[in-house]
Amino acid sequence: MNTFKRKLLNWSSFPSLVLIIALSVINSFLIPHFFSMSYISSFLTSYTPLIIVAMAQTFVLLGRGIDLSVGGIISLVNVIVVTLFGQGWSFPSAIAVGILAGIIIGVLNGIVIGFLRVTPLLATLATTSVAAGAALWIMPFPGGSVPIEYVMWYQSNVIGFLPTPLLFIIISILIWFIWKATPAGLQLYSMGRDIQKTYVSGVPVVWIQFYTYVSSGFISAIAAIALTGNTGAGDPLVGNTYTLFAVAAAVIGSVSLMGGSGDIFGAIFGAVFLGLAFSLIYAIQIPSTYQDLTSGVIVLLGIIGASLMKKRKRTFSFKPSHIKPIGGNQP
Amino acid sequence: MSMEMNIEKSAPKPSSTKMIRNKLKPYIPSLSIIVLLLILGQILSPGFASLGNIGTIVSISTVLAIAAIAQTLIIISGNEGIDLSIGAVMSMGALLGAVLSKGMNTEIWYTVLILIGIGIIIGLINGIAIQFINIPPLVMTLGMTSVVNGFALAYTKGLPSGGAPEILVKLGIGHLGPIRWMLILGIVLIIALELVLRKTRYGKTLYLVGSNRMAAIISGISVNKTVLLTYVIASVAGTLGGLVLLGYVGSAQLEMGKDYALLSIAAVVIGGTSLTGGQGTYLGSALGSVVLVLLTSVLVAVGMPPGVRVLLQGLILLLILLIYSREPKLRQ
Repeated sequence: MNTFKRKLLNWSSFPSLVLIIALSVINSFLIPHFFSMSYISSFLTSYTPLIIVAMAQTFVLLGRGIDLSVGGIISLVNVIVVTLFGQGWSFPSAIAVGILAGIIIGVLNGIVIGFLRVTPLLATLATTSVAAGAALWIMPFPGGSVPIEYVMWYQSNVIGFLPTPLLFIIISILIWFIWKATPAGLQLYSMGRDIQKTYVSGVPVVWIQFYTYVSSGFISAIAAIALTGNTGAGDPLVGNTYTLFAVAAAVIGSVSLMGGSGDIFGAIFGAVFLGLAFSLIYAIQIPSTYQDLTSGVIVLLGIIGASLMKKRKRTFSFKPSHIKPIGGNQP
Repeated sequence: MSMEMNIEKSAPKPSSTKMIRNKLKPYIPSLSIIVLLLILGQILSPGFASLGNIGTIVSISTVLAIAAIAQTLIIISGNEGIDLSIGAVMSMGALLGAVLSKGMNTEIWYTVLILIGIGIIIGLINGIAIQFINIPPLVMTLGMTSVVNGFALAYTKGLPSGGAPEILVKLGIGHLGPIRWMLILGIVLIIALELVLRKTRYGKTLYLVGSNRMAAIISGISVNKTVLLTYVIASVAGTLGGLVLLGYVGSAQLEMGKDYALLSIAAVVIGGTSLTGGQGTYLGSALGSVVLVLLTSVLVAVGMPPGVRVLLQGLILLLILLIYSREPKLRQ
């Protein structure tokens, strides 16, 4: 029991778990029926895309990369699925093509960053433009629809009591466990900490990088499918905000932006925390024109808070990871 | 003629022409692409290279070049510096400019002062979070984007009011004799920024801070002060750039400057500024701005829908990145 307690306290995702519990207590006072099954199920319906896209971002962040194109991918997959269905395709095949599109953007990211060695930040900024432009090209204005059965299924329960969105989350978590089951899982962490040394020890770092971006593209596409079940329509700009939210959720969940530390559960907790914070904004009825500002400030404070906590921890550790040069403190 | 004289004069020192050639060398790709695009535009859509259209292109380039001030300085400052918030800050500058000035010339100084103040605040928040809390610039400025957009929405209640004061409109689309004010503004900015970067203490410090922070700290340079100042200058350039944008367009809309974040980064990359920091010129970024605006104009002239334009911009940026900024192989 004692070792379990110590393990829990040292778990990188533990602080975000505490944040969730704290915010849940606050929410339970302000939101009626907060702990009811129907509220939890509607919460998952709205915030599953965010939870999943945070996981997608985590793969890339662990390898010391970043994927700014997740928002663009979500928009692209959303409009492809809706447009193809509108043109008479069967819904499953429309979904298949949508997911394929997400994977293709991921492959493009992986090639440009892994094999052609362009900085992740700029490469994914460019592919964001590619994905978002393609989305805008396919569907210049919001519209279209998906089968009502799909929306009903997404917003209901499977096996009686489990909300369907959980299914999407579980699929994404499975991809994480596939990584962990292969050497690639450990190699990913190692690469995030020190790519040079990892390369020298014979790890195919280029391929690992490639797979992280492909995973990110694939999981972002799953997020888009979930989102489509929630909105039931197509919108070429629907993914825009998700890029920031995904990075913020991962950071709040103690996934290091410097690579090599954190895990997917931290990202899930971070996303749930943001979801709770956003539902609080709606619950206390802040005027709609102020909601963007409030959610922006919450996200930013979350990032700053998480970074401050990490900095504090570093100061108290015995190993000085950051040695100041001689004379550095002189006026 | 004067060029020849120069060469003759420096005949004993053959390195002089070489020096001029070396100094011009980084700009030759941009300059030749500009000429090529002008010819291509003229072929695809006659009248493209007319004086009127070139004037328009120069004006929009100046707006982009203002965004590129922020991006160039921040990228030179190193530490993976980048400003994704510049588009949002410019949008907000334009919106607040219209609302605060109520479209009247008399209110312009008051508006400028307030916008400078807001720019300083945004820059300080960005700089402090990046420099003291170690938040990567990318993440911090991405977060700032959503706060600034949210603020603009909340302040205007989603309904931008007011318009551009006459003096701004004059700057945006007016002429001084045959020359557009925007061209003059662009040239003044290039000269001013180049002087600041090359001749002032701040400029020299910036390059050192960007190329080697440890060395800068050891040699007693206040890195924190330089970085903070850089982010403040960037945000002030953003808010004031918003005013210029307002003058050019004539009215303000929400998120009207959104595209400038990506485009300004592309302009800096085309301009040859190294993304690892510590080197680069503003003239390069300004020429890069002209290249990108020309390219967009050509795409518009041949009737590409907006979505395709964004897509092509992305592909072109990818191409530019592949040419200019690949990282060294791990094997080395």
